[in-house]
Amino acid sequence: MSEILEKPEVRKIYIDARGPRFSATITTIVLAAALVTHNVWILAVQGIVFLIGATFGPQFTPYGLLFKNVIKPRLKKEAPTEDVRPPKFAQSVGLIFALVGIFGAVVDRSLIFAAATSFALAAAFLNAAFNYCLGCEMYLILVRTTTRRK
Amino acid sequence: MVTAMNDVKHVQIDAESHLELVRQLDIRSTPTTIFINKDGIEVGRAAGTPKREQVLAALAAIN
Repeated sequence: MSEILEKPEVRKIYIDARGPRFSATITTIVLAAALVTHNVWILAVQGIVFLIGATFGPQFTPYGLLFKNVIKPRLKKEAPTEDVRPPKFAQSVGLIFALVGIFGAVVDRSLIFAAATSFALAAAFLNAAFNYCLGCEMYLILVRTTTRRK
Repeated sequence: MVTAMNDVKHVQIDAESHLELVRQLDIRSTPTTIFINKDGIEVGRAAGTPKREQVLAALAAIN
């Protein structure tokens, strides 16, 4: 019995697991640039990427599309798959930090901007360097605790 | 990879359709691999995608 491979409605929510890590690498670079240059527009661009990822899934962000069209065809190994829901949730966590950072810049509190951007950067770095997705780890625990027991 | 081993059965379960089971087994993230011996007792688990060598080592330890 393999529920994931046999049930089409479950199978379709599985994506190439290498994509989110590739996207996290670009996210790390972009957020580091935003932090170093103290540029809110760079953070805003990343915020839009997070918004797309949180709404449609990480495979539809510009980074995800770059992975799919440019990187993936060059990879020879069989693609490991993963459930799209945890990384999609992680994108929404990133979006919240981006929004807080943008808010900080708008109200001219550079500490809020720097702190929020740093948190998002740290999470993206963990994912890129160690394949440890903080938002994904939070996801199932959150679903477990927020859904009602039968 | 376990399809090559005829004495090992591989079962994949979608965590979110079985949240009761997720709580019972205390699964914290997906994917989680649980190794169960012939008596149905859990003998090991790995959070995240385990490497090929780790799976082989865990299976070898069961026998």
